Amino acid sequence: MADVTGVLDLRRSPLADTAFGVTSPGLSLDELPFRSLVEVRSPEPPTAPGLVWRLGPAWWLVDDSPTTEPALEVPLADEVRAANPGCPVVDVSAQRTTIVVTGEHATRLLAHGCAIDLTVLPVGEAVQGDLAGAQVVIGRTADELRIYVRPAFARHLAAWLTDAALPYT
Amino acid sequence: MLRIPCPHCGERDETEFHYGGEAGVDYPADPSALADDAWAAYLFLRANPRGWFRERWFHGSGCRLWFALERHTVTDEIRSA
Repeated sequence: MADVTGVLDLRRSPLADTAFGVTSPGLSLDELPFRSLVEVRSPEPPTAPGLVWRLGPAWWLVDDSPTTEPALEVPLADEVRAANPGCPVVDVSAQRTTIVVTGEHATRLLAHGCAIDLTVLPVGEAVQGDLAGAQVVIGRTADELRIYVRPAFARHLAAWLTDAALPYT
Repeated sequence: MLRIPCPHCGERDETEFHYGGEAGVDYPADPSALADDAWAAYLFLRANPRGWFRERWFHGSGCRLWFALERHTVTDEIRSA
């Protein structure tokens, strides 16, 4: 087998070269690169580690920590497949990158470019929609908002977020 | 901008959707048995009412599902179908 040591170090996240990130008392923005993302088709919520977002009827997104070993498919996919027999499970880790928004101004910031009322989004639930022209998944955890955005739109969204965050920093 | 009530995601902006034309136009059960004019009618002929119109929409930015609703073609009022 070929030596794959260090292969993971060669990966470039979509926002790697953009110096993206905002840190202030009321608002912080950061990219969480290389998350293990898996989509599941199942009428019931799938059994899975990490965060499980409902994207639509019978459509789920599982978000867990990044893989530590080089592999064609993230180990999470096999794990979820074993825990949910009969449900299609697909590794979509490279499909999106994750942006974490925290702080008291998080929902206000996103409201500048998103027509969905995120103040009524309960913890543990996600919505799909357009944010500043980019198709995104926005999920709420207990203390943050997670935005999942496609790599091709990530730089645009990061630039837009950085600009929109100016009044709050 | 229309605000369209998606049955799965709630009310959203029109820009998240794609229009799908008249609802209830089923694919013919046996297309090869159709005469040319019946096939052309299936392909091209649609109602174009002045008033309530039942039409299909696709929520491309959200749940990515098709659904039908009724829209008033003059006032753009929308009601579920």
